[in-house]
Amino acid sequence: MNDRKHIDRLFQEKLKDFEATPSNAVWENISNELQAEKKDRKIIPFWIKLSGIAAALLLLFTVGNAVFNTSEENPDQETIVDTNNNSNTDSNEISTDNKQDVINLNNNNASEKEKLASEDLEANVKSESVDNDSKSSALTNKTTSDAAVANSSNNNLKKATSTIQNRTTIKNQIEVTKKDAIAQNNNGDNNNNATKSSEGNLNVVDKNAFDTVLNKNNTTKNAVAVTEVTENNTVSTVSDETKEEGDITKEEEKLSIADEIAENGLQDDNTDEKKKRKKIEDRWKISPSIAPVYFNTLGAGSSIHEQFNQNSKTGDVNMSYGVRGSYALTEKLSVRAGVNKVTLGYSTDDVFVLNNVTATPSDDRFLLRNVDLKEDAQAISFVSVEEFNFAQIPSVLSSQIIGSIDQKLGFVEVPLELEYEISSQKLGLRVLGGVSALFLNENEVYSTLDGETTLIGKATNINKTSFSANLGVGLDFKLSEKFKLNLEPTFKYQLNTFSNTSGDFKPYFIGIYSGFSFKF
Amino acid sequence: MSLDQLIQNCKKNDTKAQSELYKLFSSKLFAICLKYCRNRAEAEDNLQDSFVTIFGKMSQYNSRGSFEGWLKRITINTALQRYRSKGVFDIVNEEKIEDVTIDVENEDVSIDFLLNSIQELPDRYRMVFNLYALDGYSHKEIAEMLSITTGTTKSNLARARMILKEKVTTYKASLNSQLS
Repeated sequence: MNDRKHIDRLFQEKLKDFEATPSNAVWENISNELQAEKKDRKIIPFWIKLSGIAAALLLLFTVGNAVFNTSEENPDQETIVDTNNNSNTDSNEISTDNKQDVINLNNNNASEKEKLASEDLEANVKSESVDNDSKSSALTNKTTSDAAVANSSNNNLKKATSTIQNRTTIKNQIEVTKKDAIAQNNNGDNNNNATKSSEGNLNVVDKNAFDTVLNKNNTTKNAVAVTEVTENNTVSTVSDETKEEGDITKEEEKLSIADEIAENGLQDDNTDEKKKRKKIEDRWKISPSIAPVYFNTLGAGSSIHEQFNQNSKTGDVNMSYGVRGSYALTEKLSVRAGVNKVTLGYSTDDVFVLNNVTATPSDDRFLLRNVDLKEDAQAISFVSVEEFNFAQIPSVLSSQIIGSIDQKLGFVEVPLELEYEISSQKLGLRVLGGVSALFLNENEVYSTLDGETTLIGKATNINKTSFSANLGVGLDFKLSEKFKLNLEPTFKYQLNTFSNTSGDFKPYFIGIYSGFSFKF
Repeated sequence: MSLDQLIQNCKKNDTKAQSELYKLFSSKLFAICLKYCRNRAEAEDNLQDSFVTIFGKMSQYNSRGSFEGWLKRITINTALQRYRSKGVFDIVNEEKIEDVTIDVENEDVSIDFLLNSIQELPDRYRMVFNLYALDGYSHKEIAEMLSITTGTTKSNLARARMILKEKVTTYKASLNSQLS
């Protein structure tokens, strides 16, 4: 039967259900490549995890250091407070040790720095060689199984040489950074020596020198970390470049799989592209929350005046609300930041509030040292009950003259925390830790007498910016993949909110943060 | 195991599931590779690369589209990628060969012969003919895929048809002379 048909139809009909079996070597090659990729994949998250932790520690250290320094400045200006005595004796001790000690200290620091730097480099080189090993073993695997297909084994050789080239450039770079690090160390040493020689015998200067050494340690560490990061970047760009070169010069050459994946993804698969983006975006999480917060002090002390050190304090429960965003560094570890509005308050009980007493004792024992009284409150005197013998006061009077001083503080809190997921089941468990910066935006002191509350002024000893160390546990209830309910009891220890406190005043607050989180 | 389950397991990089998936689709995808590549060796190479890509991008597959369609697209893309850089000189008078028809008896050409004919086409002609005639892409889509103009794809197609017709005609002639 003869008929004329379009040439396309001929091919269409014949090849419609065409299937063919590839040789067994193909699957072997595929599974070898998959295995090699698995190894690669394991190495990458390990690095991300490590750098994430390093970055977090660095951050904590820098912030902690800043807090440490500022909190020390305040007691230095003071003459009365107990804590100051301690810090004075500390610096005295340092100064009484002779100069030799200081020099030793500096030397130790310098050698420690060197050790640190060299350790870092070693770790780098080691992991690199591990990487190298796994890759080369994968390659040999491939070459053996590829023997059947002449083409692909050729390609492997080419790949291998290009990776070797990459390695050598990496090594060169490492050497350069090593030199840099050493140079930096030398600089540091010189500086230390300079400060040492110019050092007077003053205690304060000794102390400062010690501080600067500490700081330098920090900066060198920073520098090393930074060079590490840039090194990683250059490594990737170098390998990209070599790939591209291969692409251009040898058109016959098989493109590397990775390239193909990348270009395929870029070019034709729009849906894939969207998916990819979605996957990265899923790292972000936003969570509004609201919390009752309870404020109090750990030790017996007062932020107002030393006469109230022994008075009982009652913490207030206020509300805090805010929103935070978090970014997942790895599946388990995420870093988060946010903004909260938080109000804290506490009452100092058992205070005589003496209104319009003309014969106000001029004794500064009875003034509120840390409160700037309003004009119309100038005439009020506050005396702790502890100053009197209680038996002398008629009980009828007591309710009318014994009141409390209430302090109310508002902050805008900017937390920066790390959270680590312990369990991610329907009911999830996390631990979190970090720091908050507290910016004062509300500062009021009231007196409460016989149920009546009057604004009397504001506290003068509250730092505009202060910090807290945070530690908490998070419970999640998963409603869907993206939507979770959260409950986070968090303890926040305030580091330097108050200056010029008396007694053992250690303020903290506890918040039970509840809310929901949404991944996107 | 259902296909969905198999896909889920492949997403978890389960080696057994990957092997299973390969068994299920390798012959279909290999047929595509044979059509788009120059010879069997390159087709096997292409199949290998395609599967590595497929397993690598598995997590990006959403269950909305046809899975087989997704696999085929990746396989075709891998082949296109392989020969993309090949330039083919193509100026052809299209109108003259607009309607390429051929005398055929249903059983008188083998699949192997047709496949060989396709494989022997210059790279770009082969791509365009496969995409248009066998896989139903439009000229516009092909032009985008190959980063060329629709004018070029049309003339490539016409040229491919002409070459194929010549091949089939000579093949039949030699067949007839052998028989007689």
